[in-house]
Amino acid sequence: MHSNGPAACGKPHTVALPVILKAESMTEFRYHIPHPEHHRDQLRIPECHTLHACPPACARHSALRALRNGEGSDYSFCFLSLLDMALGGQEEHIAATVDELLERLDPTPRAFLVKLYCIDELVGTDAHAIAALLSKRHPDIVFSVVRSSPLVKRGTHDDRMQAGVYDLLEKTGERDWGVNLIGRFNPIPASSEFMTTLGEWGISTVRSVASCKTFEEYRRIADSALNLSVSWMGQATVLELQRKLDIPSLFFKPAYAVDEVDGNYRRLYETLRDIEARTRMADAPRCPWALEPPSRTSACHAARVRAEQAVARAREAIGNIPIALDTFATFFPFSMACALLGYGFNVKTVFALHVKSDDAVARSQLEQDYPAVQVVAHAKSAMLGEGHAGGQADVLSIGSDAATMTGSTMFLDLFHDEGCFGYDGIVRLMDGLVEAYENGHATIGEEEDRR
Amino acid sequence: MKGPSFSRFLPPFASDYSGAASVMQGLGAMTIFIDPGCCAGNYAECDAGHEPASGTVVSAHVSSTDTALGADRQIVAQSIDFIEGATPPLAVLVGTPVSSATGIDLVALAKRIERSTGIPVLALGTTGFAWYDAGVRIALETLAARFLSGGADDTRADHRPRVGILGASRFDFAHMDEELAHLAHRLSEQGFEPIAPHDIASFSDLANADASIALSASGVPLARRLEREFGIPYVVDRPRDATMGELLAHLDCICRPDHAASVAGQVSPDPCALVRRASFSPRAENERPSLLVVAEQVAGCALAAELELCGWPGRTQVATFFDAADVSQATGATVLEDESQLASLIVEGSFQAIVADPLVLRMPEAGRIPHRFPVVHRAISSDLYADDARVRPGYTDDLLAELLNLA
Repeated sequence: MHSNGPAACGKPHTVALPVILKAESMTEFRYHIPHPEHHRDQLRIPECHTLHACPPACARHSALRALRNGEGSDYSFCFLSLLDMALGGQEEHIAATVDELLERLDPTPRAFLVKLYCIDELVGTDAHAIAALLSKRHPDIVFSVVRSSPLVKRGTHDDRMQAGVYDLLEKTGERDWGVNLIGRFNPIPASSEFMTTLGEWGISTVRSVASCKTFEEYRRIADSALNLSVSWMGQATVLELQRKLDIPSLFFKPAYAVDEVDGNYRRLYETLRDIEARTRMADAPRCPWALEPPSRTSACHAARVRAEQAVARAREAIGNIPIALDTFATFFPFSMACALLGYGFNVKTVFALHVKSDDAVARSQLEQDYPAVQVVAHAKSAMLGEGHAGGQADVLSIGSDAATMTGSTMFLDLFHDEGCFGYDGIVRLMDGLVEAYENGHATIGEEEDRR
Repeated sequence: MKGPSFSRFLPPFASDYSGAASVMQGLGAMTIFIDPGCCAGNYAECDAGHEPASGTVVSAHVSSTDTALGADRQIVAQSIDFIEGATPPLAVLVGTPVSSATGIDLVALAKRIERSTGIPVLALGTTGFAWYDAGVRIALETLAARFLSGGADDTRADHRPRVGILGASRFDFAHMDEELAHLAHRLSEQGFEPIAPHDIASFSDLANADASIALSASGVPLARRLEREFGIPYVVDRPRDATMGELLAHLDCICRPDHAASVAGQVSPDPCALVRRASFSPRAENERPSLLVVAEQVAGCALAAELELCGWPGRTQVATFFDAADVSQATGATVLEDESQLASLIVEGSFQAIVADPLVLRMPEAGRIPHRFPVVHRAISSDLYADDARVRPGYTDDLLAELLNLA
């Protein structure tokens, strides 16, 4: 993908972002495959309270996750009955609940999110009416009413995994040289070369919702010069922010091929250079950046060398052991498979049971260049007969779907690319593969970072 | 019209579809959620537990287009595909908010799928608008309507009196399998043959029991049905070792009339006698310590009864959020509709001690009760406190000792 050089000021420029997969709007049965427990961060806006307005069954997992993460006091619940839904008027009910809540909350939140669920899609709850009612009654608080519904068609406005978290951002009239990271639930791993590389380029302000401590800090996300979508989950959001805040955007795809990571950095460099050039043309204050191509940026170059060394080490340790990987480990399983095959690993199977991102180019490449690799798109009943497919104990599995389906005894527990970013991500993946091969189990992720 | 209920401190409890799915998984069923994806996820992530279950969980992943245009054909076709691939002993279609709001006729779909596959397929009328106890009850009643036919098995070599164990779920038992195994062991020691349903055959066998034990409120409707249709008497109890003798005496009385003559007069004919609570009235000024137990009502009432047996001098009130089986009048528990009712109860009750799930104890009102004893109720806090040594997994001997020390 190539950026056309979005401007930091003046007219917004369109950026060629990958087309988000348009899923067939069809009912599609899927087995639930048990997964190991993972720490799951939730993105939260500082000084913001969230009310989940839903049937009693919904939001249990959100509530328990928040409690597990020590954030239980940021959430409340309004349980709607089928009768409430049938008779209508839930907009007023919800607004009244918010009124009651605001009387109790101390301190009063700066912002307030109301979260609606699938059932509201069906009964037509008027989100705008709720927001309007609340804004009128509580003019000092910023409100947003968002839908969280797996019913909605993928690729539409409402299909944003982090819906609502960015909705409270508004143009501030300021613009600085910050770079926003969009689409992650947590900061970039500390071991990644990303921050050091940006530091060498003179970029000291990197913002993300996960690292904001106050609502003011959160609002300044709207001041940044560039939105960097660093995950599949950020793609719809950066397009929305580009439209709403005139912030140009770029997709920094999670990647495991050295050349692909290099491409990410090159495009980032080119985009920033373009912003810099446009800023000069607009006679804005001089940009503080000291941009150099990634190959001449020492942090980036050194990280690339480390990644290549890690690949060589892992190849030697693992040899020709068959590998299976899945969509639970990475949002881009075909890209990961191509990367590993390119290094010489023996990838046998890709379990693409939950494809969410657009990985079509890599899939075509995989089918064309490596036709022997098996792609499993649906968990078959027979494979799960007793809960395990079994029979492939000698496979090294990346991701828990793959581990369950193969019954392998070597398992690298990676969850949605978490813990992996840039060249450092390749090093972590390779070290994880070696550890899983030698010890039977290894984990990459935020929990590991916390330790 | 009363508006929706509201919760500031308590999370949504385990839902009816989770309760129903848990029962069905325990019988090895293929459990098909008619949902967009998140209901099955909710169940799997929060309520299925980490113990291996014999059944499989499937999500229909219905899409918005299909809910608008009708998803029946897709549900039937894909159910048939999945069922024929796995050949489970039983399959169930689990209702969710989406299926209930769109009026999908699960009963009709189940019949069509069963006709095609030849495998029993049940429709569970869960909606996602009720708590787990309603789901456990719905699952048990649906199974009973289909599989209980009675007719004593004369070829049986074992002639010990048989006791059906009803209403156990992972929501009320922190270590269900171990606790049930222990209960079965004690029953066997005493000369009974326990029937703990783990498949369709053992479930059907409940109709041939000589007595039933309802271990939770959710099990009471099935116990009543067995009594009504098959003349099987029942007792409601959640015994611990210390109170097992009393339960066994009841069962003796029920199952061995000759033996029962020796204990006649000692055992009440009331099935809820072992756990019944006297109605609570606010304590008098100088009364001894009063205790509030917030729990599944049979478990809570059994604890209160045991405390009384041990000489607890004060009053005990049992309150529960879960009374879908409508048995609170029989047990004497107070039913709570929402968090605010619990807050009012606490404020008005002037309790000296409270036994409740740790998430209930987060409420500021609960924080003002001098003595607080956190005990996990998985229907509320799932496995959040599984590794927390400060939180008891159930009503342990040391909990009773600490409570009695307060007196």
